[in-house]
Amino acid sequence: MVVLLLCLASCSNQEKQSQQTKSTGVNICRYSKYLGVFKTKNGYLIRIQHPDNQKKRFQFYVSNAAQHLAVLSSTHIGMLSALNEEKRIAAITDIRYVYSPLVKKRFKQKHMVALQNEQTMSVDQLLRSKSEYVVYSAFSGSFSQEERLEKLGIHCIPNFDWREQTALGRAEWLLLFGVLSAKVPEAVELFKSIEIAYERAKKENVNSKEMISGNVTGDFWYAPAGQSFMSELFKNSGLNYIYHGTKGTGSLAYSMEKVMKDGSNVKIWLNPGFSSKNEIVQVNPKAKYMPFFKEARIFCYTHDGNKFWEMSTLRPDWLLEDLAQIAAGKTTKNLHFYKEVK
Amino acid sequence: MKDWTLKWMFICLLCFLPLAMYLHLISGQIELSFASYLDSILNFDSKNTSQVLVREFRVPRLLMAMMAGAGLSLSGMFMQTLFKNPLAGPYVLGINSGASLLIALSLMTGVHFFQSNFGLIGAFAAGLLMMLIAQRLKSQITLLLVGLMFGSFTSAIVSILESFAGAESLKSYTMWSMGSLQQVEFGQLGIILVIFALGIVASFLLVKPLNMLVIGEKSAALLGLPIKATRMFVLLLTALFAGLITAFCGPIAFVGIAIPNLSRILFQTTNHRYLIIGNILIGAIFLLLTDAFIQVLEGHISIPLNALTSIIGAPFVVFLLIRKLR
Repeated sequence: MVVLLLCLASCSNQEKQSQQTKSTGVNICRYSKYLGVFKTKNGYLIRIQHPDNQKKRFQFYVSNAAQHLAVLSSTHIGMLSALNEEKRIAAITDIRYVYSPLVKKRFKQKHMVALQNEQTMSVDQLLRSKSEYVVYSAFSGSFSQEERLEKLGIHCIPNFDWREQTALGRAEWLLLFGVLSAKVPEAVELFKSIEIAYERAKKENVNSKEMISGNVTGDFWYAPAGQSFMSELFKNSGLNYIYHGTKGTGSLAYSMEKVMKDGSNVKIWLNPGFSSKNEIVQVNPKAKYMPFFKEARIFCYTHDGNKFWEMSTLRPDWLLEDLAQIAAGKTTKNLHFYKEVK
Repeated sequence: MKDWTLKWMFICLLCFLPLAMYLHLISGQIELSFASYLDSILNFDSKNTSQVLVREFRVPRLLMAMMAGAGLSLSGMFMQTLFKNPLAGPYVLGINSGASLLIALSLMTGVHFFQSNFGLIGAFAAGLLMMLIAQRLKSQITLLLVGLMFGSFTSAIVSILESFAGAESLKSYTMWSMGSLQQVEFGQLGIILVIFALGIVASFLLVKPLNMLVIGEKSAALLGLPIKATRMFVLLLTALFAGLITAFCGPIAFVGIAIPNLSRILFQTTNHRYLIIGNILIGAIFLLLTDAFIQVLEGHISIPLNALTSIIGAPFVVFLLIRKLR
């Protein structure tokens, strides 16, 4: 009889829970390919699709704001900062890569711990941070600690913003942090303003002089492929990217000889990875023989790389504004992320 | 093997070398006229893209392929004779470890100084350290072990640096460790060529001592060979070649192990006069052809130098191991 009663109680609990987690069926994400956020009776249901495995889907039901979050990538910090929710950050990877002044201050005040590396982070440190959720990027394909942390009651949420093919799809991951900090309406509002600003900054025609992106690492010149997110961004800002017509969504690896020939008319060089011409030549002395080294205007974000990595995913409108300004060849004093390399 | 057979083989290799050089020069992605080659040397115009391509890219790459192939093969041969071990190579002394350590320090601490300078300092310091240790040691095996331990020690420090490094620095270091023949500029070639030529001349001075070492250290000492002085001279030359090449091209795998063995199998001699010439020619031709192949593939797929030398070299070393174990 007792067993029967317990069974009944358990069944009714499960039913109650399933009612609570039952979504309205409407995904509030409109651009993201991998993130889905659904309103439920008492909270939100987050659905995350693994980009490489159609069968692998992560699902989380969140009804209350997380008090302590471990965020393992700069973009996560940027998104929480945009929602003024830095106080929830309890663990980061490395303070050297943080831009947010408030996060830096809170780190100094020992409100958070540094876990160093996604793959080799210390579980003890994570436990010390009392984090309820770990948001990770899975740059190397998987998160090795996932199973162990779940056993400890810490939920691991993958963030595949970096795998999205559109700028707004990337920025829309802001909604995930909106759910985790119980600030969904604010997140939706902010995203809408970003969307409007992005569409406004978008250019219809490619009108700039020829442009190249990337730099040499080892023996090869690495540049965004023609169908990549960056290439699309270049096109939308009016930049005439010389490799826009190439196939692929990743990066291209071309020999220096090819780039030298292809780049003979290049007048804009973006993202060489250094903040001065002197640094470019010190690391790769042969860069000075590239025809565009002397003749092109060079722009990069490395003078404040932390700001770029923390903010650029969330603010594609700012990125687009910067690139459009560079493409137009106008004065480039008030750029958000970029600075001319001299 | 008879002298005339050896001579014929050398003549064949000598004839094949210019062919390999020609193939290397024409394997680039961009077609260049013969006039561009001539003008880039005799009548250089720095605004002419084709001439810059020849002078700053193709010619240094060609000469570095030859020097790296020949130099590594020679230093590998020195180590194999000194340690009487066909699996010894130019890097057993930890010369590359010294270069790797300083390059890793340079890339991962953000102190951007010309990488080759850092590599040279590291290789030179490692070579010097090993020579100082060699002076105090009696056994070659102990020296070999010290070299291996030094390599492990520096690898550990590099691993620590890697764990703290940013993604870009890590990528740069990984790419450096894959080897490259493209980092040298035309202006640097002069000094590299002079050091390399001096090393070659010095190598021929070692013919007799190396031939005596083949019969064993003790027997060689009984015949009047000054073992310590010979060992120091061999180490100095190995450090010179391996250090110079690692500093400018990064570590290049397997050439220094595979080519000396291949030379020994081909020429079937223990006379180091022939082995030195053979190693120089085969080493240069091997790396020229490997790099030419990489250039041909560049339009479709980018293969790092070390990957291809390892793909070719590793099965060869396995073959040697099986042959030896049999």
